[in-house]
Amino acid sequence: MLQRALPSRSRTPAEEALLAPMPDVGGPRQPLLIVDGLVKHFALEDGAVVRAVDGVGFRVAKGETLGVVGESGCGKSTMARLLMQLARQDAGTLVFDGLEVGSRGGMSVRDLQRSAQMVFQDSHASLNPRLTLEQTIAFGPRAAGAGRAVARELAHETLGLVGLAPLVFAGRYPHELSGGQRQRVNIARALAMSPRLLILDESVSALDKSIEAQILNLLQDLRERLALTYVFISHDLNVVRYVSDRVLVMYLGKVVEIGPVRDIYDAPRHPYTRALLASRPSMDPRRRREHAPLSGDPPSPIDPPSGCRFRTRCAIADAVCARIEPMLAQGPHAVACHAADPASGHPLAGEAAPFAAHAGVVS
Amino acid sequence: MSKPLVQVSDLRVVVRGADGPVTILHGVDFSLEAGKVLCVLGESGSGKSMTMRALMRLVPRSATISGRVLIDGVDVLALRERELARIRGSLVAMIFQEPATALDPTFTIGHQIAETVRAHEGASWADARRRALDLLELVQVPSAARRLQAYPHELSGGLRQRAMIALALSCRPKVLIADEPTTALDATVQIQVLLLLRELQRELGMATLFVTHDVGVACEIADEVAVMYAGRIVERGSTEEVLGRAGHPYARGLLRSVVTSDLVGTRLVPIDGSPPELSALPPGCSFAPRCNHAIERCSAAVPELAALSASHRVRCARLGELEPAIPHAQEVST
Ligand SMILES: Nc1ncnc2c1ncn2[C@@H]1O[C@H](COP(=O)(O)OP(=O)(O)O)[C@@H](O)[C@H]1O
Ligand SMILES: Nc1ncnc2c1ncn2[C@@H]1O[C@H](COP(=O)(O)OP(=O)(O)O)[C@@H](O)[C@H]1O
Ligand SMILES: [Mg+2]
Ligand SMILES: [Mg+2]
Repeated sequence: MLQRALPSRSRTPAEEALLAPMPDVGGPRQPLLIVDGLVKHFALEDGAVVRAVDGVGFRVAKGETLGVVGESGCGKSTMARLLMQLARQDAGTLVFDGLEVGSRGGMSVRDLQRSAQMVFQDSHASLNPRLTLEQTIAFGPRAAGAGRAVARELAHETLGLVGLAPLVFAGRYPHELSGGQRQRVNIARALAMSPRLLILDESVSALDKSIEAQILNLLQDLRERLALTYVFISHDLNVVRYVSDRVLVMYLGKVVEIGPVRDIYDAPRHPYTRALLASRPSMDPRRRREHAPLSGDPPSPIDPPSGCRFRTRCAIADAVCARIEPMLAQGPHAVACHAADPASGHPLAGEAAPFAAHAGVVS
Repeated sequence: MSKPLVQVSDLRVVVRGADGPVTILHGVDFSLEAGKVLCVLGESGSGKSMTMRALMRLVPRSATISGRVLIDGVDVLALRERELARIRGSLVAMIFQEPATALDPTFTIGHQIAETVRAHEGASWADARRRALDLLELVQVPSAARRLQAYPHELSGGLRQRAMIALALSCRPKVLIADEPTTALDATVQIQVLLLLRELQRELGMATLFVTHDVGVACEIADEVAVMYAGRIVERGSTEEVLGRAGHPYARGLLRSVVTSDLVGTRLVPIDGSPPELSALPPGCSFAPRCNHAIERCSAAVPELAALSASHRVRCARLGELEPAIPHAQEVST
């Protein structure tokens, strides 16, 4: 995509490599990302252990957007950092386009950190106030071995891609931009590395709604034009529904449900997913919410409950839920809940629609 | 109709900027009766917080306020500092997005509430403590007696928010100002706090001014809505009128850019551009440069807040020329 627009002149191999995404080696059916058994714990000073990510597995197909939702503290950002290898997992594997990351004969962390790029929430904190936008965007390519001229071309090209006229914006500083424009720069900076995967961690959450809509449109355009794959993390369930093909629901370091976006929103199977959806404002002043689906705040990932971690807030928890941890079932729409597993011994497990009558939750 | 408890007219705030004075509020007018919730809706920087702070004269020292603020018959802008201190907390109480701004980290929750009750009502310590317990129970803090002994940092975000609400209610205010009190909370906790505020509002009959940038939150709690843009109210009316039949192109654009399930598979229609610098407002209607309907007339003068109905007002020079509002929020179900 990028290289066609750039004038050809003599370039180093590193530059040639930077101007296009790394090649697709696995073919269209190979998931771009396979995550298996990912664990990251943090030891605190007092000896307690934060089980931030505690055995997470999923796949992301090429060209799709996987939405990730869950309350704050459930491990979304930690997982994003593991996907980028900005932190090293305690256990588990990442396979990028068929190549295991960090293993011999697999993919180097360095290559991963080019092929995957991350865009954060806080557009202010993530831009160096003393660098022009061109310098900011050119920084990554320069560090990856591009000469000044090619890095500059990349900066201008990507500024154009995100809708900031290069002639106007290349020389500007972050403080001269609005919040929406700064977030465009962050996206441009990620694109300058010709990534295949973008990890968007609350990337639109700090923006005003009218600006958020601009950025969401931009992200949709870029995904198509550049054949990108997205992991889109957000606490806004309506935005996740809008952008995602599939959705992963996290609770205290675990995946509790994952599936196609329609299934998750129209036929959620985990009581937590149902509660999350029913916590959204109604958007209709004549049909206001009459009760809160959950009480209290999310519990701490230090010493999480035994068995199912959600059981302490769950309306249909049973004795089995405290004893045995429910496993994420196989299949395209997978849920980790005893009530959805006929073999679990949960009293509601035999029922066709186990939650509709009992969860006390209407979405 | 009962007499409004809060009457604000032509409220202006000017601050000293680097290159001379900057007008933050350009004459804000609204009124609110007891027992009602007015949501002030708008994007960041539109002047929502400044409006609330100006009501209580909690503005930067460099700022000058003019206009008229009548709260329960008290002319707030004419009060002396000492009288002002007395009505803050007793007649009018405030809650914020960040409980840290209201709660003192060095005292227990119980002590802070009791202290406030004592200071304002001259109650004995024993009575004040009892009232603190009642208040924590009122805001539905579980194990309230134990939580009286907790320091703010020992509470979860949702409980801290409840403790701040208890503190705000401690002197039975007639007016509650809530500035984005649920913005930092998870949706699962936000809905709990909104339901609580709705219930307290019903029970205590306060007038509540509720600032939010979130249309969904306004749908849940507002009786009336005022939409702000660049330091002016550009539309106000009942919740149904403003969120259901918005008249101002900005309000319509804002509602249209809220992503809801109906929009899946469609391209979003954002408002182009970004809000103006307050130090360099365009002439006439501040929204004109971003407005698809703008014509020359829009830049000639700032339009008046014109009446669409007895309660619905819109500040648009082309009001009546635009096609009727397409209902937004009310058509959207989850
Ligand atoms: N570097 C760290 N040291 C200790 N605890 C951490 C660290 N990073 C994250 N955590 C904890 O891990 C949990 C998950 O955090 P995070 O991944 O940021 O969640 P989310 O993004 O879903 O809000 C939280 O309890 C957080 O406090
Ligand atoms: N102390 C101050 N001095 C100068 N300008 C200020 C001050 N506080 C706020 N402003 C400006 O006033 C405008 C309105 O701010 P605010 O009322 O906080 O907006 P909102 O609450 O709607 O996001 C903003 O442009 C902001 O930069
Ligand atoms: Mg996070
Ligand atoms: Mg504010």
